[in-house]
Amino acid sequence: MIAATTIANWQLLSFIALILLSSFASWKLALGLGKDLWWGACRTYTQLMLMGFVLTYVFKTSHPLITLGLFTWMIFWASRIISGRIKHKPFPLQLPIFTTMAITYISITAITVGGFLQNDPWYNPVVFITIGGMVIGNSMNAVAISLERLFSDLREKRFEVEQRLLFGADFKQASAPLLRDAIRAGMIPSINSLMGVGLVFIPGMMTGQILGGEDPVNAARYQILIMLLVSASTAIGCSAITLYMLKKCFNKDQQIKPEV
Amino acid sequence: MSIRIKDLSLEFQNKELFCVSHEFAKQQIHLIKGASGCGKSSLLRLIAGLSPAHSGQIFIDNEPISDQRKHRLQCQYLFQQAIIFPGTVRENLLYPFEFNELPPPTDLEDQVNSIFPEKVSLDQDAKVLSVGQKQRLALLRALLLKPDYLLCDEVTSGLDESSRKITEELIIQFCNNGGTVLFITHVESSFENFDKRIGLEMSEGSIRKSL
Repeated sequence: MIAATTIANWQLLSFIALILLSSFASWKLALGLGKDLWWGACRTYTQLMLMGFVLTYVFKTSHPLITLGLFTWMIFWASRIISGRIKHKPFPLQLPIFTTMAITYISITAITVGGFLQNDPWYNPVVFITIGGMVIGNSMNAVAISLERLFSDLREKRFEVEQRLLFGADFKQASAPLLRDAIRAGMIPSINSLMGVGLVFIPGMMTGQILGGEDPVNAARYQILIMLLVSASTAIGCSAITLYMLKKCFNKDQQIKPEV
Repeated sequence: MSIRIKDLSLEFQNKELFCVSHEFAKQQIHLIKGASGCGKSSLLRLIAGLSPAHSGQIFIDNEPISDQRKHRLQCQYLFQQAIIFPGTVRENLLYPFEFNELPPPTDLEDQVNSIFPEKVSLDQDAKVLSVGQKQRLALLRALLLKPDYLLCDEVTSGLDESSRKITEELIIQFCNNGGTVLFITHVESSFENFDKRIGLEMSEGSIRKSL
């Protein structure tokens, strides 16, 4: 067993040197990223330390409502980030994204923790929050990519979709190729991860477990489970959200809404 | 079938673009002219059921439209730039039948030969056809769906003389077989020798006869 190393405060703060280095590079190359780098670093320190304290409390209390409350809070922020990343919004996106993500990811995580991992109780916060958090984090990028692609394709290929409507298609048939392309675009990073894991990189969770003193083979088992879970939930979440958003782009007469 | 529009209006950025009432008599070619931006294409899109109207109603043979999906199939709208899907000429002609209950045509070869005197094979890649050939292909594809009316948005603008002639002949034939045509054009000579044509002018949000 490898001994876990505790990171002291001075060690943690010394990593600011890396931000100094990258902001120096940004200044030298006139990239204009200095402000973003410092703001990002500040947020990372604050958000993760805060998360550490919150998790300590949630793990201690182990109450289903507190666990689900924290998980919903994480989904709220994910939906906010996704909505912010989509440049051209045909209608307010955050609430529908939040609702679809909450339904999809709470169900998937509960089934995984209680069913596949046989945890008792099913809301065991140590497993539920950590695994669920990884699922949301990975799906967030996929959903943002899928939605951005869907909306831009609907604008660019509007006449193509309308031509299918003229053939007698309903909105789903008329935009099926666009929906497929959007979901595929979102899934590519996740599939690339499945291909490259263990060959190109050691994933974050496995690294964390190994550094935390876990046996590498056992860490690998957990990582396999996580990778497959993330891929499946990304596929399910992406499909559900993209399809729901597609539906919202059409009115009851199956016409593309003017605001799209 | 006649098309009657009553107080059909369209708004853009909270400003009314037009509000028109008119009856398009059946089995005629209605040539719609008007300055750019007066709303000709938007009007055709409303009638075709592609865009929602702000207010007003459309009646087909004095009956309001109850099923937009069925209505769109009955009135084929032709875009200014023909929409051609990846695949061969045959695949493009048969593609619409994947979305409706209509029986696919069995005499495709004869149909294609009649609109392409320059000989175009059914197995030819449709994407490599010329602009005029693509427009003729789109028109034939629309006609195979046996619509009651055709809504043409400047489909002959920019076409060579031969393509324009064949396209107009097909539309005249459609009209002679009982179809109604709404045809947006800027060209005075469109369908000039056809007696069942009605000239219309769209301006300041209204439609009036011009010929």
